[in-house]
Amino acid sequence: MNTTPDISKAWRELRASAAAQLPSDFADRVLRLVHVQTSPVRNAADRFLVSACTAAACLLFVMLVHTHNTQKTNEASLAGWKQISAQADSYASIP
Amino acid sequence: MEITDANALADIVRQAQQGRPTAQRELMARYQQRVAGFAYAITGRSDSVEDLTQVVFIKMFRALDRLDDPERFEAWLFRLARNSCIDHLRREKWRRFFTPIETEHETIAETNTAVDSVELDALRHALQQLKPKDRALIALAQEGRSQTEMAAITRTTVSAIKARLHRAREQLRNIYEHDA
Repeated sequence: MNTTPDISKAWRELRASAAAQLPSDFADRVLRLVHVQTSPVRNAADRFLVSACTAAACLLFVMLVHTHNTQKTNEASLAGWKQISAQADSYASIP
Repeated sequence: MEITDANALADIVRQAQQGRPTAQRELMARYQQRVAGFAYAITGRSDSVEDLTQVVFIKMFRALDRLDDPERFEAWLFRLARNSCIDHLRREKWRRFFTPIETEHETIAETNTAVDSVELDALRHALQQLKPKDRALIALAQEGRSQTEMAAITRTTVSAIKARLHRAREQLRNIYEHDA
């Protein structure tokens, strides 16, 4: 009498037992998840592109503000110096 | 697998790569039960089968564009599944390390249920006695992967795979025959 336990039967049962853990709508659920997760931002490259664009926009804004402020300061300084120069000229013309 | 089957599968994979829902569904229908069985053999826990199978298929669809050779889809899928299962076990090991003693009952090995046969219980127990990487090797062999494919998957040599697989099978058989 052959008493060797049948391991291939055990493997079949193991597969059947695992398959029984999956609900009937498993495929639908996974495909829905895949489409939801990939549609807004497709992958890491897209995320990197969005980050790079945001960083570039921020840098541009900072540069514009800096240029504007520098220009205003220069104009104010120049006006001040012109005023000082005019006053000095008027003092110099007094006999 | 016959040549016509292999060609048909490669066609389905190409269509799935182009984003055709029917092809994606067909791939899942063909492989979801096999991947579930594969994950169960490696993890030994039925409660993680569904989550792990889901993770494997989500990874699969995300990476499908990068599969250059659709003829090698099956080997590629099981490499993905094997790596996901090993990562899962590694994470579980760390989680157990930080789990308070009171909640450790969640991590106790799964016991057999009334509907499980003696053979299934013995196989599950025997698999749990092996190292995770040896379990994965046996599961890959059960899925029909060649030793060359297994060597590529585990980044080792064919001769090393032969030796490890032989040793793991011997160990599994001994424990199984003792239990069953």
